[in-house]
Formats: sequence, structure tokens, C-alpha cells
Amino acid sequence: MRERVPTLLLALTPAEAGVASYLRERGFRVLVAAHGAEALDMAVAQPPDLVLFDEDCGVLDAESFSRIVRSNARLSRVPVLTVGRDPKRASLVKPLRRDRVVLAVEAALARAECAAAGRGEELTRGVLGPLSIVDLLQPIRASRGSGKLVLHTPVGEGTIWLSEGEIVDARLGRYWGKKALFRLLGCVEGSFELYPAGRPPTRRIYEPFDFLVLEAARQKDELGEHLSQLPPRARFTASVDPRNVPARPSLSWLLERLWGEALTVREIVDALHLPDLEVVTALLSAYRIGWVQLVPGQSDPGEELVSPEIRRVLLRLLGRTAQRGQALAKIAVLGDELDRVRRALRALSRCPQVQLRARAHWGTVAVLDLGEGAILDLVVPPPGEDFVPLARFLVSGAAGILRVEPAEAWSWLTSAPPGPTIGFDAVDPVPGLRALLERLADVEAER
Amino acid sequence: MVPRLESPRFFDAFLVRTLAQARRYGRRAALLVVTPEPDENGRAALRRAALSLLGLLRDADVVTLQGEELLVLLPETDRLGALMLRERILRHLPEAVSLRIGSAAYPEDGFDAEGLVALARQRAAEPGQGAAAARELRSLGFWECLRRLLADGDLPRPALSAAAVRAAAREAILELCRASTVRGIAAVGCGGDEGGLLDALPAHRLSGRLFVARPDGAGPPHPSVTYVPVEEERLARFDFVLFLAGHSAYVLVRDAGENAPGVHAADPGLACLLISRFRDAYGLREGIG
Repeated sequence: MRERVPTLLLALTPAEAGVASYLRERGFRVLVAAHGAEALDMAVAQPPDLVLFDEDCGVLDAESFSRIVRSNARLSRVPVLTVGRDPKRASLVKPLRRDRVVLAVEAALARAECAAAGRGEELTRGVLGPLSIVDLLQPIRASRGSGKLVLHTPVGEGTIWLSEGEIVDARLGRYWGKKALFRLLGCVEGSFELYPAGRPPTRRIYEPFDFLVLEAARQKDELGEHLSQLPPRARFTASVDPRNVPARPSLSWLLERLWGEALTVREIVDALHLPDLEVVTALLSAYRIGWVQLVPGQSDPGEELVSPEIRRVLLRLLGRTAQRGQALAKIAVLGDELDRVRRALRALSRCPQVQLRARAHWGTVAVLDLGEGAILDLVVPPPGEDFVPLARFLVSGAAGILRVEPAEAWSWLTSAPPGPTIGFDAVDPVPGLRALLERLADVEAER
Repeated sequence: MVPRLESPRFFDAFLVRTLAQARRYGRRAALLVVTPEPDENGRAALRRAALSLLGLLRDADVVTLQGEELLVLLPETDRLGALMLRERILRHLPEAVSLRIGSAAYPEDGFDAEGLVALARQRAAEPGQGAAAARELRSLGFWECLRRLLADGDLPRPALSAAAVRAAAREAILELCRASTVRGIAAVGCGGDEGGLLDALPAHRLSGRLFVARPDGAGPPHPSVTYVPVEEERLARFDFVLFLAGHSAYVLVRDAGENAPGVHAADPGLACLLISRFRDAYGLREGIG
């Protein structure tokens, strides 16, 4: 008999869960994973002596699991018994018979013990989705292995190289290094090939693996946030000569690129060989201090009033009240002077989604069509003491409030506003409206 | 079947349970707190009231007498339903009994039993806009109510053009279209000239109901609209917009004949009273309430 108690890792369906206790009774140490991906994590963290993997255990299929286990240096010799309905593909056929399971486990453990060391290099292929790129790299990282991951993604073909468990370089199209790595780590779709060997021509990345993974996630989030503050279709140009301003490298490269040229955000991000977030941060700060300006006449506020994500959440907010494809809610627009409010709404109507009602001075004066049947009415309550009851009626039940300052007459509202309140500028009201829609989406997302 | 008076202990347990169910299954619930007028002999008046009140409740409602007040739990009832029931009770009680009734609804007004009871109690205690007038109005017919409101000095009197009344009516109709989770009810009468008011209505059924007063009592058919045949001279005399939903209420009345200022208020009690008087006057028993 073996001196050591063998550890079995089980990833089974709830219907077969009884097998675990039976195997424990038979003297095995048994670890149970809730699904395939958890099994993979557990296997990487603590390599078992054998894995019993049900093809229906969820999240990960048996084939990919086996392949990933094979590609990992520490796990490549761990036998994987697959459980399934098809006797041609599975090592054990459902429904499981306990005596058969024990026999198969014993036999596989014995084979593994006797098996000769040394296997040839294997190539693993697969599709991203159930597994993220980080999931694919983790086993190599854990075993301090080397290799390269070749990715075919919607943003292009890329490669990530690892050496002794650290990421040493990445390439994506014409980009190398961290810019390529961060873009690749942001990908969730595509296919991959994993080679257990391969060396980059030079090392361009020196940060530790975990830092890079966290940094990629942070940069992705922050990039989205920064981009939402910049008009996507507008063109920017440098308004100061880069030779005359002392600046940190990213900023001066940005200014050099934009000196005498007008590029959109996308073009700028693609043109500079810095991580995307660094480029956008530089652009944003240069824009705020006036070193970079919008090319007049190019601004197009309407195109991206709401991002697809925000629209999706808002549809959910409205969807609760949706009837046969039409969903309605209202936003109250408040201001002390009706003229200022009207001017703000006229400015808003430059957005193609906003339509003004020609003759209405108060009440539902504009309609914001978010598409897919979701409509937000913009409601202006009538001003003046006499009309407080009517204003109260119009404002109550509003999803949110836009305030054109000053809006002191509406102080009775502020003690208990019906929804989030955002101030906005009568001359340039689009950012305010966008901010309110985002806030509404946040409120809805929290529910 | 008429509900009977339950013990306070049973009521408390049932209230907590009903609210838990409403929360769990996304349902609605409301409750009424009934208190005697301050000048009445509290407990005796309540006992008398309880007897007549039990006859006015629905068979699923649960009632208890707790101290100086009656608590009524209305399962599966939204705020509008509670307001309409409150109105019905106030109108049908014998004259000798005078009560104050406050209502609160889950989830609009709160989530826990204690909070809802406290809010309903508070609403029963506060005089409310036009409440003094309301008791008197209740004994009158719909058109007398409108006349009395116009003569009364309590409510704000904005200068309202016919166009402004139509705009307010249009807003009430739009609000009805928007208030699709909360039921609403609206009644409009603009001298029979709604001038495209109904264009805003979507083709499908609303969760609220709209009454449109017209001399001929006819108009383009819509599943949520009832055309009410109203005498032409009355329509020529009065413009009115009445709106009531779970989240808001609005009453506008204008003397169209004299072009005098109208009156208006955002008072659920008053809106409820006038809508129920309007429905009584024209035998409108369908739909909501």
C-alpha cells in the first residue's frame, strides 16, 4: 500500500455528490469543487493525485479542463478521469457505480505512479470566454513555467510571452510591450494557442505578474471612465507649441503628435506608443489646461449621449414599466427663469435623440428617445408661486432632476427630491444630461 | 362576507406577514389608520364607527381596534386603491360619526410595519389641504363641488387661460401614460374641445383609466378611455382636470364662462373626492377603485 493518503479532486454534478463521501470512507482524501473552473483553481493551488471530472459539472468542459491540466508543468502528470454519458469519450459512464469508481481510481493512481516521467511538448488550443487570458496564464505562473500564448482577438493577433512564471513581453499588431499587454488582457473574446516554450526577441516588461494583472483591470476601468469624458468623434489639436512647454514625456509626445494636426481620441490613442490609459490621461489633462483644443465645428454632442451600457441599464429601469415595447419616464428640468431653461433645452435639441415640442412653454416640452422604445420626457414645471400645485404634480414621480442654476424657487423640492439631481449648464447642457443618465443607471444598477 | 374585528396581536402578526409577502413576491399592500375627530368621545365613537366601517370594507381586509384607533390592513392594494377606499368610507359613514383616516402604502411610503402605521397615523392627524372644505363637499354633487371650490378662498387662484387648462389636461394624460406601474385615474373636461389632447395616448391599454367629458359622449375608441356624455351647458361653464395616482395628485377647476381665475391644488384627498363624485354623478363604476 501507499504510505501517503492520495488526494482526489472531484468536480461532479449534484446528482453524483454521494461519491465523495463514499471515496472518503474508502480512505481517500477528497476535495470537492463546485464547478470546472473552481476545480482548475483548486488543482493549480494544490495539485491533487487524481481528478474526477464530470463533463456536466459546469463552467468548463472536460476536454478544455484536461487540456489545460496537460499544459501545466505541475499538473501534466495528474490523471484526469472524465465522467459522462458517452462511453467512447468518458472514462466513467453515468450513472456512477461506486465500486467501479473506486476500481478506476485505484487503477489510474497505480498507472500514474508507475508512469515514466517526461512527456513531449503539447500544443493547447481553445476559445476565450469560459476562460479569461489571465486564467490561461495562471497555471504557467503557478508552476513558474515558460511559454507563449498566441491570441486571435477582435483587436488583432497578439502574443504574450512568459518566462519562469513572469510576463516578459507582449505584442499586438504593431504594438509591443505594456500597451500590447494591457490591450490583450482586456480581451474577452477570441481564440488562443498555448505553447509551453518560446522566447521573445527582447524583454520589454519587468513588472511582477500579479501587478500587471491588477493594473490591466484598473486601466481598463479607468480608461472607460476617462473616455466617457471626451467627445468621441470630435477632433483635437494642440494649441501650444510643444517646444515651448516643459512637460512630462507623455504630455510632450502627445503635443508633438497633435501640433498642426487634428485627430480623434481613437486616432490619438492609436498613434502614441504608450499604454492607452496614459495617452488618454495626458489628453484629458492637456484639454483641461487648454494646451489641447477641440477643432471648432467638429464637436458632435449628440452621437454618444448615452453609451450602450448605460442605455442597457436604463432600459432595465424603464423595462419594469414597459408595456408592449414602449417605456416612459420623466426627468424634471428646473430653473428660475423659463428663458434659461428653454435655452438649455434648445441647446439639448442639437442631439438627434432630443425633440422639442414646438409650442409648449412648460409641461412636457421635450422628448428624449433612447431607442428601442425607451423614452424619457423632459418636463418643465411652470414658474411662480401660483403654480406650485401644478409644479408639484409635474415633478412628483420624476426619475431625476436637471437644475439650470439658479433654481432657488424650487427649494421646496430639495428636502425630498424624487430622484437624483444634477446641475447643468444652459449653454452646454449635454454633459449634465449625460451625467444624470449615468447616475440613473448607477442607481438602477445598485438595485 | 364582512371582515370581523381581529385582536391586535393577530393583526400585528398578520401585518408583518403581509408586508414580508409583499416584499418577497413584489406585491403591494396598504393600511388605513382611523381615528376619531379630536372633539369626539374617542373610544365610544370608534366602536360605533367600527360597526359601520366593517360593512364598507372588502372581505380580504383585516381590521383591529387598538387603543384610540382602528387599523385596517388592505392586502394587494396600492396607494390609489387605499385612497379610493378611504374616500368611500368617509362618504358612506353615517352622519353621526366623524372620523379622520390616514393611509400609507407599501412600497411607496415605507417598508416596515411600524413606519407605515406611523405615517398613516400622521396623515390622519394632519388637517391636509382643503380638508375642512372636503367634509362639506362630500355631501354635494359633482358640479356643486366645483362651484363651491371656485367660491372658496382657500386654494391658490392662478390666472388660467383656456390654453393653460388644456396644457394641464395634456400633462395629466401624459402622466397617465407614464405611470404604468402605479395605477392612475384622470378625468378631464375642457368644454368638449380637447384639441388633439388624446394624440399622446399610445395604442395599448394603460394601467390607469381616463375619463373624457364630451357633450356627445363619443370619441376615437381607446381601451383605456371612457367618454362621458356631459351636458353641454355644464361643459361650457366649467373646465376641470382631475388626476390621481399613487405618486401624485392634481385638481384644477376653472370657470370657463366668466374667464375668472381658476383654483388648483395638489391634494390627493381632494382629487379622490372629486373623482369619486364625478363617477357617482355619471354612473362610472368600471375600471379602478
